[in-house]
Amino acid sequence: MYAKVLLRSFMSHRTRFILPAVALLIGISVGSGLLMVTLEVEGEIANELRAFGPNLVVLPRSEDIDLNVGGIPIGSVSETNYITERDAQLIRDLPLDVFGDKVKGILGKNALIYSVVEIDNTTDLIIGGTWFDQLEKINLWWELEGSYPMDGRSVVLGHRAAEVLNKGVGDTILLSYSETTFVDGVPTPFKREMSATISGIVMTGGDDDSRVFADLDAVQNLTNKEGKVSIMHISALCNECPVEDVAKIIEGQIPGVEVRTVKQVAMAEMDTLNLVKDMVGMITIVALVASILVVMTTMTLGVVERKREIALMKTVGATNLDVMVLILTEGLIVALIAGSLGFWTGVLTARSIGQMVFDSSISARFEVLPLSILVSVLIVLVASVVPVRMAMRVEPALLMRRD
Amino acid sequence: MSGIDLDIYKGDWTVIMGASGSGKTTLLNMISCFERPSSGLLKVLGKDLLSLSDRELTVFRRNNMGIVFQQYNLIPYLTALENVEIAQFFHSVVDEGSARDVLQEVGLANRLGHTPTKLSGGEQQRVSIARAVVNEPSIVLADEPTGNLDRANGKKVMEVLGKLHGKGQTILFVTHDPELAMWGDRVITLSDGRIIADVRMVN
Repeated sequence: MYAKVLLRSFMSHRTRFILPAVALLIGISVGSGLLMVTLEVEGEIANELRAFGPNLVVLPRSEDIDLNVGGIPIGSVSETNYITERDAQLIRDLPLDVFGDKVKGILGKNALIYSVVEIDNTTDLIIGGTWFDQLEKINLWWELEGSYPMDGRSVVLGHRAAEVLNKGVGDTILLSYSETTFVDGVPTPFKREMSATISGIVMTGGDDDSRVFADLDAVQNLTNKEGKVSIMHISALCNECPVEDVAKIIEGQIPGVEVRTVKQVAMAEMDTLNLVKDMVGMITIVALVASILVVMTTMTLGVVERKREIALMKTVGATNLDVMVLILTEGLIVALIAGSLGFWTGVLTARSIGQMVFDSSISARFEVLPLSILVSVLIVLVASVVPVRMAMRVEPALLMRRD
Repeated sequence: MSGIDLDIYKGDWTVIMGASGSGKTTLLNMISCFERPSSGLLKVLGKDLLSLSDRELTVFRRNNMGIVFQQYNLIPYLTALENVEIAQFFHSVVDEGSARDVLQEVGLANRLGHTPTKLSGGEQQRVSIARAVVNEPSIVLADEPTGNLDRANGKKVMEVLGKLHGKGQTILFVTHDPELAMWGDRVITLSDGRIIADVRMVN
């Protein structure tokens, strides 16, 4: 009988149920859609932010040497250190599971050796020896004309350096390096030269525009720094963690190095991700509050319309509890339907946002479905407080009055 | 109302009569457990109604009274049969067989599947009576049940009530129509909230 009353009530007053259902549907769509976007695309956002460059730098662990004369301290000096290429390789080869669940992925780990060379016996430039395959992954903002070197006999010039040298892609340059070394305490000149073809010219927007880059091994050999690395750049996709945690893990694995976060980049990442989450949260709250208000208003209007019906039920024996159960059951049925449908319209919403904003395909996250239904039910329960109280105050004596 | 000192007897068709504003509906509301008197003693079937909570009053009314209103008050989206069954639902359990029997008794055996919009006023009122008696209440309270009906339909409704009374149903019937008052065993006349006459009819 109860089911019959509910069904007949639904069929005869469809509009009374359609409006709150639509309001719930919209609220749940927005909430579930944005949640699915956030879950799927958080990694995408992090990837986009990785275009800003590395968020970690690896440096040689420096040791200060205290100086004193006659026991009186006069200051300290730092011994110039390098990271060994062996340590650089160890860092490069660190497996992802070393970081546990803190890191979703490593975009790249690049090693660099810097020195100063003379180009074509005319111009001094800073040269960077690098692993181009890693540099390509990390320095996503570099605009390259030509290609990165495939061997040790090619170089990439920064565009300002290319202008100064008046060189273009395909031209050849002579790189010269000289220094004085000490062999058995005797100063000995060291000089090496290398001819290289310019395979590409880059626009970086920074100091690298005035530099030349070549293969790491080639530069180590040219500049008498075999087995040495000045610095490493790491671009880590951190999983909702401060990137300092990743730095500590690397230091723990490779004791001879010091790992620092590129603060500005790391902070910008965390801030941006938190901003996105906060914004999604705010929009969802607004949508859900609007749903509550619409549902409450329509349910209250429904009780007003049905006052005589409620009074009649009380005259034939319905208690306030019976009336409350009836109204809540109607509301909860709407909640279940709207919550379920809202999940699917949320999937469509998420896919649209994913395509338009992130150019990414969002999959349906089924773990959001029970949450959608639960939130829908909670909205109806909150919205029902006013109409249920109103229904409980309806007096059966209402029916005895004549119109 | 004031100074009301009244006993209603089992098996009687008691008519409460009076002009508009005399207090008929107020008296009926109090006996029906819709309103509480501000003072005095109100006992129905031996139960002191003033000592009951609102929930207890609802349960008492459900178990012991059937009410017929002037304005039928059927649920518009339920059929005649379902309007009767809903009284059974809130009372105890739905028994379609006895619901059909009662509707047959009021002459609506072939109108069971019709919603109120498809019934005449007289038919709707007979459904209302069927709903009021389906749970075999101790007392049926009828508040001007023919007030919205034409003469012919009004007569049919009175005949139904008469038939029920003939089977021993206790009826408390409110009207302002002296002609309808003639159906009762006893006529109590109110004026300005007071009983001005209490006459047992000789049938």
